[in-house]
Amino acid sequence: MARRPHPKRLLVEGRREQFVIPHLIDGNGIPWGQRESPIVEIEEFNGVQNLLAAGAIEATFKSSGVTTVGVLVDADDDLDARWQAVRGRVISLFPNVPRQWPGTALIESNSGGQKLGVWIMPDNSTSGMIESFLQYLAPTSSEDLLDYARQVCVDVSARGAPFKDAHRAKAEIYTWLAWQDEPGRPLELAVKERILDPSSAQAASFVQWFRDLFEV
Amino acid sequence: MISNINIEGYRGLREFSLNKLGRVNLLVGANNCGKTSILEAIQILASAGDPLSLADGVIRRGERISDSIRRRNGISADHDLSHLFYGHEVAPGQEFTISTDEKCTLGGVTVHVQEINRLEHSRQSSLPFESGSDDALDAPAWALNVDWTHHDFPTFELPINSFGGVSFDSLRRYPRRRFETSIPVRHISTSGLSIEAVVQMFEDLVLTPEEGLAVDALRTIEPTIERLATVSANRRSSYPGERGGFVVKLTNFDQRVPIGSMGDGMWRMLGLALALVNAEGGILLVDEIDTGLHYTVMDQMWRLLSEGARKLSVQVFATTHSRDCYESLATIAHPDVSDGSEVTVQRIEAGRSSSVSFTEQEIVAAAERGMEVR
Repeated sequence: MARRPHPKRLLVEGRREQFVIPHLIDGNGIPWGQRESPIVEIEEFNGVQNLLAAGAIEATFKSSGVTTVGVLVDADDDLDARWQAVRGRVISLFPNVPRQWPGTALIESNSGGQKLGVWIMPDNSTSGMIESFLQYLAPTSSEDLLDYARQVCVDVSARGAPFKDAHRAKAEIYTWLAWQDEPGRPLELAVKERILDPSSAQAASFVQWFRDLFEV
Repeated sequence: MISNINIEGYRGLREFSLNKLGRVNLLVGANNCGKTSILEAIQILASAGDPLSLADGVIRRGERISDSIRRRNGISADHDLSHLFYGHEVAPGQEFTISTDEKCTLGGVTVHVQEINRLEHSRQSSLPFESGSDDALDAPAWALNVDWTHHDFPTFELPINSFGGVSFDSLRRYPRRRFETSIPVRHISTSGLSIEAVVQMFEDLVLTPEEGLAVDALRTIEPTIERLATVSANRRSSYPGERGGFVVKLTNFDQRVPIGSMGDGMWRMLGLALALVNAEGGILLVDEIDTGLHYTVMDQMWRLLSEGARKLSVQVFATTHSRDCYESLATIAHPDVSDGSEVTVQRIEAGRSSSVSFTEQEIVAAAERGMEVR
């Protein structure tokens, strides 16, 4: 079924982002709205390769009534390569986006009155992913525990734990979540229940980018 | 092929451009955004200013000067050309321009309203308003001056009365030999083609290699059709919307079946296929292309049209309001083609000065995600 698109759209890699972001925004005092009428519609692409496939972002901007599109991707291990991939998709519509990633979140407007926002997880300047970002939301009181969880993940690697090094940030946050009360809450519920603190200083710059981009 | 077209001052289009056009172009957009006007503008340009093409849209839209105005003002010519101009008015200085880029051989045309040279017109017996038809009564008030921007065609003038009126007779009698460089244009309106037009097109085609295309088109809807033939009964009927003039032979049926018995989709597909063949080397314009077609045959319709268009060097411009219609267009679009797309979707939006143009890649991406392109 084709749908009249929400004019404000956030494109994300997968379901984790789709579930976590509304609680993160809501947790900062910005009501997300009802299920059928959210302030921003999040669309997940089941993988960054689909999100950055030729045509996907372009078609989003060209769909009728779309005014604002946010692109939320992980830096993974090469932030600059990720930016070049995003830039290749948006350059025809936003000819003024910088060649070099500026190291901070991006918001651009074009002559057609549309806005583009880009945030590269975790913080626009280091490699990593949304799980790296969510580690920033661990309460200060839990810093020791988070450090210990990281150490454990190093130790278990030596004992043959099969997770890939690229997924280390995931292993760390899920390990830490396993030790909370209640243990093993999913990421989005951990944010909702403030096991991870959505109002932490580290989350604030993401929330500010979201507010500036979508004007909420 | 037209890759860009600019339209200024034609009907509701104050200033509008279509860019990055391909071989098959689907125009979408809200009601009254100007889709049909764009088809008409392309027709005027491609017909190299044939005065009949100027009036074609006027006649189709039924734009006539009312009887009471004509009686009161003592004029007879009733086809009202004033609506061709942005602002619906004819007065000296009004003009519209339709142009392509330098690379396109069609060039550009400007039609403007100017004071008529009365002396000149009274000397030239070949011009309208002079011989024994109704409009001999009308004093020409102004002339439509049709001027080529980068062609050496002679400029020509078409006299009109003070209400912008012209008679069909005078248009038809206007000398045609100046328009030899025009390319074939076939325009299928929302109401489809008349029986006479379809029969004529088929008879031009019969026993040529392209005849099979007509039967193939019908088989997309009814696979058991073996042959198609014209019959003399009903072929001259002018009853609006009547279907006739053709019979088909079906496998497992000895009786031949009138095409009118077989639903609107048949008639649409036959009209599309015949118009496509008759537009060889030129342009096919189709308003509301999905009319009468069930969504299950839409994929095949696009395949037939795009393959035929490539083979016969036809550029296609079609409009639709139907979601099935543009989603099925994705089945002939290639997900890896962006530059130089053969298939495009062009969204026309009131208030924008150019179309939003989707490449093949973007058509596929939008269709896969169910995004709204209209």
